[in-house]
Amino acid sequence: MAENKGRSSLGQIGKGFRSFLKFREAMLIFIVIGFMLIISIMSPNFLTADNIRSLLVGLALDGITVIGMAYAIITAGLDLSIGSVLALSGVVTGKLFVMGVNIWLAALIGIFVAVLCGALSGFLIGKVGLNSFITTLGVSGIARGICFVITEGTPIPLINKLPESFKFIGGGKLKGIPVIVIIAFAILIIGDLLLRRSASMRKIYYTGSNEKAAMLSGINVVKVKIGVYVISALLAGIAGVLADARFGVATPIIGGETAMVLISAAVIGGCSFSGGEGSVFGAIIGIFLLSLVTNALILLNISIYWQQLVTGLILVLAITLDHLRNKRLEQSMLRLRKI
Amino acid sequence: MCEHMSVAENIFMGRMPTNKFGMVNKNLLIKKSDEILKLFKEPSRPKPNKIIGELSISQKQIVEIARAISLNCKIIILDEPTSSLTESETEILFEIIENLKNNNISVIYISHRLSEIFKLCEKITIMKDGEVIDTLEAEDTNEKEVVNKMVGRDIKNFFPEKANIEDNGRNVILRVENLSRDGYFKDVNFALYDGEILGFSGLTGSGRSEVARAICGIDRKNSGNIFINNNKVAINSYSKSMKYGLVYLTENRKEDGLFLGLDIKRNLTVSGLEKISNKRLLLWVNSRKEIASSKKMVKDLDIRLSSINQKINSLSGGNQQKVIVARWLFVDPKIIILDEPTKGIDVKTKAEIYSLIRQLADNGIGTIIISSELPEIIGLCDRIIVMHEGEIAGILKDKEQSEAKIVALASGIKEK
Repeated sequence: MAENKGRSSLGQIGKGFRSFLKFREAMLIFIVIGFMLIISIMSPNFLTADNIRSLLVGLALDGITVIGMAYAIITAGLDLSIGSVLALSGVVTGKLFVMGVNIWLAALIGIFVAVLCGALSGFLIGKVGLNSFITTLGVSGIARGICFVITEGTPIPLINKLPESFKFIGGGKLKGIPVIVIIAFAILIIGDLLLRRSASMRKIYYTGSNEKAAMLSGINVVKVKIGVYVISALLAGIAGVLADARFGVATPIIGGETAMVLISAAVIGGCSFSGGEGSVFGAIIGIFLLSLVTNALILLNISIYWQQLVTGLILVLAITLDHLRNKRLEQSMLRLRKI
Repeated sequence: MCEHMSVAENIFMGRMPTNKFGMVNKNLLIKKSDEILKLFKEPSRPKPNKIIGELSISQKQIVEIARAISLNCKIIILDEPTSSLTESETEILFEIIENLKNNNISVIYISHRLSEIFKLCEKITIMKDGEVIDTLEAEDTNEKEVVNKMVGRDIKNFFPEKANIEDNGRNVILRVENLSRDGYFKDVNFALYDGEILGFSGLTGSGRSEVARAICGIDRKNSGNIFINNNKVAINSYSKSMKYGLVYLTENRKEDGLFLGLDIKRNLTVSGLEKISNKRLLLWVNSRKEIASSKKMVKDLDIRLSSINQKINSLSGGNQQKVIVARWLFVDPKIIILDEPTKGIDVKTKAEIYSLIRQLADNGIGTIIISSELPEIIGLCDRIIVMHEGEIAGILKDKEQSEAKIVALASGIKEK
């Protein structure tokens, strides 16, 4: 009897483990851990506090903004404007500060301007019904354009005038952990939990999975879409301010490749372009994996010019594997239907 | 089919006649298409250079059949070809099929609609659960025998017993006054009593679904008033309609109803997210409640599945439909409008859904059924509203209902 019980609970653990393996994220975690093992064997500098710290600081901004990209992709959309909105928020904040505005107020205004960009995208995509790719490409151009107009193309140096408290969020440490990493981590956890558990955020999945059915289930699809692009821009705005704090300079060209990196990360992390699938957690691991690649190349003294090539390879590999897996799932689904 | 290309290009897709430079020979293409299209009768057959996107559904079917003929086929398999056709388009299709038969082309016709099968076919093969049950000569059998073999048992009470609507003292739960939408329907007046099942019949395009969608605020309306329990309500969006307990179950299950990529649980709870979440905590979903509610719905409607975490597209059409019905019952509706509730569903589940609908009506939920299937609407409904070109042509009470009467009203023949 007791033996039996033991076996069944063991069986349950086995079952739990198997269903865990089915998670897209689980597969990624294994890849990341394996990758980290390999790097740490090849380079003794990998598992040092300094390296890990710089790795995490490096992905903090991408980590915050990837949440918005994941949300947008899950609604079957896309936000190409994240990088430019990030730059705009930073530039507006910097410019206002140089003009004599209190830095915290300036930051708030910078974030507000970013949110306006998101509201514009959201309105055009959700209410007017434009395609998200083209719309955010346009808004991206507008935001980047305003950056250049404000700065006349040259970065605004802030570092000497910034108050210590503001520099602290960009460069300070709490018990050895960089503050910017703590902020990013907090935002990521909130972003992931909300999408996982909040009823309002669940509407993002419904909207992406089948917009018409979502509408006919009583979901205000327009509101969902506007919300998604506003959140995405809000996060980009926060990242823009954090970039000012971290680099001590407001640069109009920052975030030029952000959108592409974020899309790759989100897709590697399991967000499906046809919508309704994906998670913030997956997207973060995607970003982490891409950062690891860059980090490994630096540590192994390989030219940084290889980075894009490797990133591209990983992306192609990820979507190919995904496609094959989906095909197999579909077949097993047909078998299930016999019940 | 390629929507943006011409009829001829679609017929000869991938096999375009070419000239010696390897370019498409347009004249020959049109000539060859014309030859095939001549097999079809005049008003319905499309011109070879028309764009597919501009054709009606039955004309598109002609193009598809023409493509099959152009391949010199001997057998054509038609899978539920009439499911999106109107009555008159169906007639045209039947003529085409007769034509094919006369040209020595055999046809395998797959359909849920028994009347069509008996009209067209000489031999009937019945399948169930992936196995052939029997093959019968159409002459030697009848609808009842076929249905029994499809279900595997005798269905005695295919339709549940009707309510006696003449009872006095029934309340009006929904009243619609002079509802109009330009170009779709006008001056629609009717009332729905509690405990009754009200049917909407009429040809496809007569405005049945449009009326329902306008009542629920999915489409806009130009004028008219809606009263629920004798209180005038202003419904301008579907979520408002849901707040009044008025829900609409779509006729296009796959396109407008299901979230194919999501699991059964999420498909069940989509409209009742508030019921499974904590209102104080930012609408935090309570997963225990979510699972318990989903399991209860599965049990109540006897949905066949192995786990509520399965994706919805692993279910059969009948069980998918049950999921959607359960989704709407979960929000405790006062009035439920079911648009073609048994479209593409096996006979056994049909019977289950019929008795479920009757049960709803018995429990005081106002029930409106929109259906193109005459036996269904006559068997199930207490009163039937027949629509013709956007207007109500007549309201038939239980004893006056017959297929002939409905067809006459639906096609606009005035009775003396």
